[in-house]
Amino acid sequence: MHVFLQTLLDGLMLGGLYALAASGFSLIFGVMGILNLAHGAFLVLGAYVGLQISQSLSIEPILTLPAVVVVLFAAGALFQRYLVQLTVDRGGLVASLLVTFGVSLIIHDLLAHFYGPGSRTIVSSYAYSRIEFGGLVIGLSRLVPLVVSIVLILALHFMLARSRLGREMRAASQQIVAARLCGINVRRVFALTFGIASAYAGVAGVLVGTVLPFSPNSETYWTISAFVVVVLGGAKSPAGTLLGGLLLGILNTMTAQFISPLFTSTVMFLVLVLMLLVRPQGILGHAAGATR
Amino acid sequence: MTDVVELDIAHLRIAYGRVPAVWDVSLRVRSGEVVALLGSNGAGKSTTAKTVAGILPASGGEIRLAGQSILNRPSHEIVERGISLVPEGRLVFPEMTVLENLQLGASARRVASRIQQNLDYVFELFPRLGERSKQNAGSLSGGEQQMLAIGRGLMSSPRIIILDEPSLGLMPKLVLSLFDLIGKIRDAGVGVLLVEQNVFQSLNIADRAYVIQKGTLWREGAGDELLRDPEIRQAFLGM
Repeated sequence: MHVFLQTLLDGLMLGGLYALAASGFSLIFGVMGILNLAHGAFLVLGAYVGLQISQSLSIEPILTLPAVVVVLFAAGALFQRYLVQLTVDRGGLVASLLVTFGVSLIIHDLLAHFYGPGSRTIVSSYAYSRIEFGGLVIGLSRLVPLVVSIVLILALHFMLARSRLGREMRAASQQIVAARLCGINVRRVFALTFGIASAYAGVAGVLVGTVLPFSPNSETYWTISAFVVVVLGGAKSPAGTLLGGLLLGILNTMTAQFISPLFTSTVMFLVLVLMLLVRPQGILGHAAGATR
Repeated sequence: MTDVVELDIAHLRIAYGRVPAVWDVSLRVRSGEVVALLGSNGAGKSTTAKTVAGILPASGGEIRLAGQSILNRPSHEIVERGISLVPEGRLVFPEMTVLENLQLGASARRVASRIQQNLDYVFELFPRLGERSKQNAGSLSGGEQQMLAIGRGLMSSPRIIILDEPSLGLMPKLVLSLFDLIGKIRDAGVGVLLVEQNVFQSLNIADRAYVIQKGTLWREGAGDELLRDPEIRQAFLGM
């Protein structure tokens, strides 16, 4: 029983990261219908930017987040405005798959060139601190990302539900022609969507880096896991993303603990296929769609 | 009454890829008048409306509002200048409330300070929308969605509003109140370009009208004058 509870707790901790890592991917898909295959690459890019800044300035990794947000927001917005949008205008949504995939390869190669192909980690001052209660152990390095994830996902939820920009994003996703007729600059909204999504990916990257090793190759894993989270939770709401992320986290730790650490990817993929067959709209389904 | 502005379309040409849809259409709409744009299905009416609003690109000709060219400008800039298109098929935001739909209609910076005032005006025109302001637009009836689409179009305080097939799919009783409403919008000083297949009703209310066929201008004149035109009666009214 104790092992089960500890595994569940570890799964929740990891799940918060999965949720944050997927939230930008989900936002872009929900608003624009684009599967951003460069999402994982932006996440890993964020991890390297955080690593670089925290090493150069010898500061706590979490203090690099504002700078990472600025860099990744700009990269994402420019990427959308000058590459993705032009591609979609000329070649449609399918062409955007190729372009985002191509950019993921470029980011991967550049990172491998400048930082080498090997694994890195970002070490925080609290990396070995832990809280214990009732025999359960929570590492601070896992608790901090979970808290940051939940706060940021809530912020995204309220931005979408309450703010003017969020309303414009929902409008563009539901009825793009009408959004344009309302006087909304849809291109600007899309660029901001990509910028925010990439900033979220960057923050997730830094947090991932404090918990797990990463390398340029990690980008594939984080794109696929974002995909799985969206399939589990539905693409329409941050609440769905949070649910999907937590489920994926629990699934992974449970598989590693009770089956074998070798099969986490296999189980993740089997669940993905099963979900697509049984409940393609995600667990929350249309209930989540209403908060769009 | 504020100053009169004019939408002036001259020799407009529009093509879908290489297929021309509109060859040569010229028309004028002034604030405070109703101008009908008539023609059979596929004549190029909706295409013209979408091009004025910046949704489709023109391949030639000129469109001016108050003397300034708005040809092929981005749609949000055209709304900002004072043109509002209520599209065919309503295109409301189905998963958003009536209130949110209306607020989105006031996205132009020009009306940022007038949102509440415009909301009051729209709720006065359509009390039904006020009663249902918290309801999702997708749950409204077809007639209510049409009211919402028109209300949303009015939220940007347009100087010229283009109504594309507003009577399509409405019950005859609602069609009557729609044309009544169009009169009210005109009386508020807005220019109305009414794109319609309902020729008889439109000519009845319109100050002037244009008839296009196969992408070119075929007839123009005062509404009652065209109502008496034998060729028009034969082509559209079956008399």
